[in-house]
Amino acid sequence: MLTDTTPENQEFEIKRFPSFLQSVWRELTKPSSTIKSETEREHVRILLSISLIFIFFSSLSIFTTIFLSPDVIHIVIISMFLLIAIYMLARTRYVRLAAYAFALIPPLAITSAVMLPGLSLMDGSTRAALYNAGIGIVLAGLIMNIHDLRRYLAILIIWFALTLFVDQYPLSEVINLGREFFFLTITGIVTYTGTHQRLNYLRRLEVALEETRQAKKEVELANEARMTFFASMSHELRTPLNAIQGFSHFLTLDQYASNPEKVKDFARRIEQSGHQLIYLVNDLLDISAMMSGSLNLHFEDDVRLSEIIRAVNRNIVDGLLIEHSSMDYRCDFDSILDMPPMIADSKRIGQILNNLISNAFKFTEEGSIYVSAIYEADESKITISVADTGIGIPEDEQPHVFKPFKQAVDAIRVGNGTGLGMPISQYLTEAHGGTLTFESESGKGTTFYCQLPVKPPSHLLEKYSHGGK
Amino acid sequence: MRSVLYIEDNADARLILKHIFPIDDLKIICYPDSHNIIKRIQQLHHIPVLIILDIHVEPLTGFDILKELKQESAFSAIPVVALTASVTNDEVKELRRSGFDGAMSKPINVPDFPEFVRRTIAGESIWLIS
Repeated sequence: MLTDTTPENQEFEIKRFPSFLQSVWRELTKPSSTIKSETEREHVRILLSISLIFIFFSSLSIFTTIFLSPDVIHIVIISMFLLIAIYMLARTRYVRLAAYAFALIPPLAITSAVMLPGLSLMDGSTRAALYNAGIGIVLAGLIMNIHDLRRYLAILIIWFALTLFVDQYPLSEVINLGREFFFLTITGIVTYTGTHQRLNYLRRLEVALEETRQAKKEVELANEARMTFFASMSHELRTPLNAIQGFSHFLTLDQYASNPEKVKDFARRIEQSGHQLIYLVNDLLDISAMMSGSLNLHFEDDVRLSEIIRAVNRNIVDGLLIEHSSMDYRCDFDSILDMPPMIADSKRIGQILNNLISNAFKFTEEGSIYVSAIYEADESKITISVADTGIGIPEDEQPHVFKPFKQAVDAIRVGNGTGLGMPISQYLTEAHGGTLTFESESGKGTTFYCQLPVKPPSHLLEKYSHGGK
Repeated sequence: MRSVLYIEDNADARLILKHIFPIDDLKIICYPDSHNIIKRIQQLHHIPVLIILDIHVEPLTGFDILKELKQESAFSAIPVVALTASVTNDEVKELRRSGFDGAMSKPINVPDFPEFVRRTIAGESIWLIS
């Protein structure tokens, strides 16, 4: 992500000249305020170092030119003036502009050289000039794909040596002029690509930094959720333990020994709290099996939904109805009895229904709960629905219903269980090849739909018969 | 007749305290929720000498109730203690910070509870967290 030399990461196609110019135009027409200040500072530093190299080599070139042909002193002055101007510009916030100004020097210089009186390009040395320019363009093409300063310098030195070699021949000073142009060209292009590369790199760096910040935030949130989860667990364990310790302490006291009704009541409450703890421990084990992918199911043939619902009613709902005496709880047994036998883990289906129904009770202070089932023969699927007229799930919390730790956070806030039931139920439903969904409206109620295939797909039967592997 | 008010949504916890009381001449009044809490306390014949709060009660949490009680001049002098199962380090810190006059963790320490109540009413700040 942070390597700055991969061509596909380049924002601009600068391999071909027309598109290069297009991108220059695009870049120039962008407002420079889009450059962030930290990027800018870094950018200026890079640009300054590159322009120093620029000045060094250009001076070298110009120096040789002066000695061979005092006529081109004009170009020297113009070039130096431009260099200083760009150097100054690079120190301001208009670094981007400066970079393009560098790139624009060579064409300007060539144009001015051609226009200069006293220099004839029509003599025999024109060939040499064209030769120089040709090699210049070829090398420039190479350079444009080279973003490493050292490689750039190596090519520059080779070229310098080459022109020295050419100088051994009695060609005109146009060669030197050409060499100067070439240096300008090369330097301009390199400055452009270099600063541009750097700019792209810094942009990617900023993106990466933002991603890192985001990731850190997510880790912190996950940690917070985990801490809250443990706090919630501690609370959920202590609540039934409170009843167990309190009532068992009373049982040790002589004053209740003569009151068998009280003793029975205390014992029943201790037993209930024990059940509560077992559910909690089982939920924790299920969550842990879910997370490690080692959940094991015991699929049986001829599982009857009606028997499962009867057991849930007997074991759970009867107790809940004592607490919620005004609740209108109805089970549509006519529809449930019509369901075909299925292949399923009956204990787990019972667990899902237990979770859905207990949940409905938990969030419905007054009103009704309605349990029914329909069979879709063409798809061989049974859909069990548990509808309540409770408080409903607020829209912003709906995406989190099946997320274990998030739920725990919300659950502790209202003091309602660990919130592990829903994620577990969804996992168990999906392990049977089914889907668990819901429709909810805040203040009006929630309906959960547990859709189960009569026969789970064979890959799931295989997978969950062997510990989820 | 002196009374202690206990606000707790868990029926078992309420029943346990009902069986621990009376302590000396103190009787217990239990509320399962915190609806109109200030109004309900005002309507009592005698202002309670101690208020015991569970934290996870609705609609107002134990923290909210404490805040309202301390703002009400008639009740601000009544000691308020927390009796809660939420007792991780951070949660206890939060209890202390919000100005509870003491706390006991759940499971309730039944044998020590009468002494906890007596000393808290006498003005001591006792934190029995285990």
